[in-house]
Amino acid sequence: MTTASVSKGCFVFKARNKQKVLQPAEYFCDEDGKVHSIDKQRWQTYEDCWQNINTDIQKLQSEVNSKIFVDLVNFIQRSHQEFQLQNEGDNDCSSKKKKKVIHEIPTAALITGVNTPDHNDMFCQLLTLLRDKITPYIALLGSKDCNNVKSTMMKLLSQLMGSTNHLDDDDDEDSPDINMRRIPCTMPVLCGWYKDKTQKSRSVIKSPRRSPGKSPHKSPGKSPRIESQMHYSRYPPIVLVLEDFENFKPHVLQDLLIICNQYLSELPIVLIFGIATAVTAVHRLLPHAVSSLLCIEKFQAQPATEYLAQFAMMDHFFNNTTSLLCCPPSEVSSKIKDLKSTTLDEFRNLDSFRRYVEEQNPEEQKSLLLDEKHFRKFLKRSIKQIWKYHDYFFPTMHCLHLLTFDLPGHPLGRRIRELYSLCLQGDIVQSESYQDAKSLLKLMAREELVSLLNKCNDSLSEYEDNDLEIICLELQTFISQFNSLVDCNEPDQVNQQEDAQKSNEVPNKPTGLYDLKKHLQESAKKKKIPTKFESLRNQVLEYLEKNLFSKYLHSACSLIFHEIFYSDCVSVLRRHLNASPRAAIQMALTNPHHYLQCDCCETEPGNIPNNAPDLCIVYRLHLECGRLINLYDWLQAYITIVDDNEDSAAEDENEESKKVDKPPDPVLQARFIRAVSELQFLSFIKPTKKKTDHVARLTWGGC
Amino acid sequence: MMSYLRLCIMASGKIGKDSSCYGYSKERIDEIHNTLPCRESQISTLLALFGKPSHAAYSSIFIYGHTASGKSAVITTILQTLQLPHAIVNCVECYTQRLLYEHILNQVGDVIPSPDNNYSCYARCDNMNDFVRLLKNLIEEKELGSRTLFIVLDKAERLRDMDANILPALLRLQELSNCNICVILISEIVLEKFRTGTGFHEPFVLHFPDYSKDEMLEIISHDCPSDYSPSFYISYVNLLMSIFYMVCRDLNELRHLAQLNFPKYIEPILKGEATVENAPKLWRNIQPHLQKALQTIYLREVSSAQWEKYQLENVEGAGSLPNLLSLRSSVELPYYSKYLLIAAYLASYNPTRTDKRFFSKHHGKINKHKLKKTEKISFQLLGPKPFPLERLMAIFYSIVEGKVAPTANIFSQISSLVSLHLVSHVSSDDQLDSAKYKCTVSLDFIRSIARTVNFDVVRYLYDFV
Repeated sequence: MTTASVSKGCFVFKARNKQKVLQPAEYFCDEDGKVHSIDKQRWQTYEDCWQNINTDIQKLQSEVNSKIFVDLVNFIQRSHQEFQLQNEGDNDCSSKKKKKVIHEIPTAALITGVNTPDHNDMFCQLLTLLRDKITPYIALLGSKDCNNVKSTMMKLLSQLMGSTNHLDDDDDEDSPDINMRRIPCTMPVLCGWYKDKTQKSRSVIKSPRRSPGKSPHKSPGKSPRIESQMHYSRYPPIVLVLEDFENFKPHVLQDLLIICNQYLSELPIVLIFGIATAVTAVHRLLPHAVSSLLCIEKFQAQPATEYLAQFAMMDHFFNNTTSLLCCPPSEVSSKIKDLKSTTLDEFRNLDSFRRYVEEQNPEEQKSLLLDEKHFRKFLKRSIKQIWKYHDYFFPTMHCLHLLTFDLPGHPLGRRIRELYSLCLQGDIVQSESYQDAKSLLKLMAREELVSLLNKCNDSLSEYEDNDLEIICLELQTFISQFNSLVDCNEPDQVNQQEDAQKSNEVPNKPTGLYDLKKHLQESAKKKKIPTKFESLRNQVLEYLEKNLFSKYLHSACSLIFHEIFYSDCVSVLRRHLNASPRAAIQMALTNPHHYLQCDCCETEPGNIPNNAPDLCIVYRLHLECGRLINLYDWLQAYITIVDDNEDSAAEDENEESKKVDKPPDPVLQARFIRAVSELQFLSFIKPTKKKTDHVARLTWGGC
Repeated sequence: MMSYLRLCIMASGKIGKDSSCYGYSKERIDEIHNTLPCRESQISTLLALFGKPSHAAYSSIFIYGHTASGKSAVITTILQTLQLPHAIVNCVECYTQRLLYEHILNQVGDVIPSPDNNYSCYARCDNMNDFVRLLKNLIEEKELGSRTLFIVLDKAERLRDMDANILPALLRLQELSNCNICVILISEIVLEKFRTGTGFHEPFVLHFPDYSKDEMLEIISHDCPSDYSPSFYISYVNLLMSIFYMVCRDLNELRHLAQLNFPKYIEPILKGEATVENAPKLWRNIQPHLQKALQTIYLREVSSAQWEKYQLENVEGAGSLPNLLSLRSSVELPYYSKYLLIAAYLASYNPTRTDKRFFSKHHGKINKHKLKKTEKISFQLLGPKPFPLERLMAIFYSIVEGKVAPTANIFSQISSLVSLHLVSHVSSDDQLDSAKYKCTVSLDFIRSIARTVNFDVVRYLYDFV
């Protein structure tokens, strides 16, 4: 309990929880000793849920990137299959070399998308994957480390040659293996090192004992590492990852590539460019002479929309993590038994329950509000209901999504998350967009509709439930009916006779243009006779609406005790997620009381309190100035405010002249200077060369 | 003296090929000629210049010619085949002069940095003076005697960026060290661009002209895979050249293309639909693919493996390459970033005074007559103009749908646009109050971006009103 850290509390913000749970658990016990156990329980539940969610998220994240990573790994693996060191290979090796006329560096252009903050994670994942599967020799270069060729080479070599250090002996980092400072950072050094490494590892593999004495300065007992190194190929490629390709300086990049290309016969180098925008960036940065040295293969990361679709699921999980009773149904009853009366009151205070109670007759009201036992039962019942609702809600929503996601105009959204949010907002069947979707569905051709229904059937039959199974069966009969329809355009039997009568009335051959027009007008007015297919189509849709969508897809808000599972304090979340630092700083400076919460600096707006922090006084004063601020005037104004309190008793006529004459109090002056430099640190002002003794204001209102 | 030397060399070059072997075995000389077709005259000139191993070589040679004209290949092959003492250094690699010296010394002294010698080099060498001294010692140590030592400096134009004394000193290295040293500079630009103030010694200049079409054909046909007859491959390369020679004279690129497309060319043969002799049929099969490849020439965006995969898929009826190509320049941006970019574009290409007309509801009527009189130059032609951040935000708020709070999220998107080079920062970094930007994307790009958010950008552009 006491170990509940603040960082965990921060995590919870993300989890869309209720305000109550938002605070770390230790807050509860400090406030009130009595509710300790319950809170502990709640904390426990929360932890459980969070664990569940966390594993789910991690699974998702790895899934999201897995496909592209698998491709990348394959690419890197096959890029240097034929690589052999010159002096080791026999004679036919050199002849083979001659045949390979074009030396290109295998390059993977990884289109990462513009959401740059995420890239770090992605590259970390990639690196661990590569390290596990292919090669220990990986260098990750970021543009900020690579201002010139020298620093780039330095970084490259230290990462590569340090990597084995890292692998072999994690514990004694200060082992004098390679002192990077004393080594010239050149490619020949790297070549020598690589040759040495590959030969050594080979000898280890060849030796039957598998002794961990691979290199002389390696600590023993690291055999797992060596095992893992065993499945590297004989010549593991050297992978250079350029993280933010666009931000590299062109000349550095060009030189680096030329150098790499030159040593391709001795080092199996593979490049990975992390490109945020498009492949055209490569050509913007590199002239043809350099780009022709590359053999680029493009890997497009999945567009963001793909991620989002899966995020909807995550979102759902987040929603589920709320208070105590948000746990698997099997545990609910036992927990309800343990509840204390105080907590029961909390449940009684929930909005949805109140609404429900008001609708009941007085007796029922009484028993619900006063009888604890009855209330417990009721609570149990309603929570079971909610779970049941969930059981039906999600399959049904999936089904509706399948039906509608491909409609023109996307009335119900293209992604399942859009549909989900619509469903949560209110009764979906009543909504306008649902009606739109329905009318569009009513215009569908047979093949499309049948395939959609088949899909729905498949998705519904995945869930084992009686009610849903009935619907599945119904759907199947509908589908078979559709299939048995030979001629879609055959009119419905009921209407056929009527139709025949009408057609007799119509004159067989329109004689003139006028007649023809009249005839056409009439037929347009005439109610269109539905064909067999059309009526069947309507039947299906009506059936689905009646038995599935309107039955199960009502908004969660209509349920009793929905607050347990759902939270809708969007504004709180928004405040936490959308940081507005400028507003926060301004608030802190103009109204320190808002954050400090102390009595001393409480003030009505428009007044500058003299006991506020110096920084606030200086800030408030500077707001009144123009673009350039005279430091001396500023100091005087500051002293006036701060001294106001102390001198108020001894107020006399000579004060003004005194103040001008006597030098300012050195303590006040020092405080002022410190406040001004703090303000400069916050970049509200900066020194200027235009006028001596002046500073320039950097925020609005300066001109 | 120079012209005399040149004459001698020309003469020896003419008779050169078969009569004079300069003390090397004839097989070696033939081997050089065989591996490097179409460079006979250059090779014999060089051999004549080098002379016998013990001959005093000309102190410096300058070789220039376009990319892929065989300069480095000729020099390296000669030096390696004849096993002459040499050092080959790429000047790109030597970002300091110390590295240059140490590279040369390492190669001459056969020092290979490895863990055994603690990655050290032959000797520490910081300036030209030390270099000459150490080189002299090294030559004595290696007992080269009167044999010529060749120092090859590839991409020699980089030498101009180093200290001013290096280039003249290297050209006079023979004179300075009193040893039999020949310095060979290889560059893509002419010697005139190298001349500096003092001490410049005229090297012997050798030009490698571009290959002619026939020569290229001959060289590429050397890559012929062993399963097919050379004549078959030559006919294939001929077809290839008929399409690509118009746009591309780069030997490397053509070789690359030849290798890339050959599997497609022989595909009907492998399938048994055509024979080696049936050239027209093969041609009909390959031509559309070559036309497609013409679109992406020089780009190297599709690696050979991917190209092959595409071709396989194409056989099965599903072409993905057009898709692959069209995706080239498409950029996925966050929602508000799109609007920010559009706002930046509008701010860059509209004059400030027209903002009121475009973005306020009650703008006065503009006098079209007056407008046409004064404005003649299109803003699209003038290029983007810088604009302050406030203007960008003002336009952004007037075009964006819905209410957006000016949070850190929005501002960080501006900086990420800058880091993507879609918008560039034009004012200096310390001016936090008046940050100015420029939009650097093209009209087509912004149109495609605007289309994704259903925003008619042209309606807001002053030039198109």
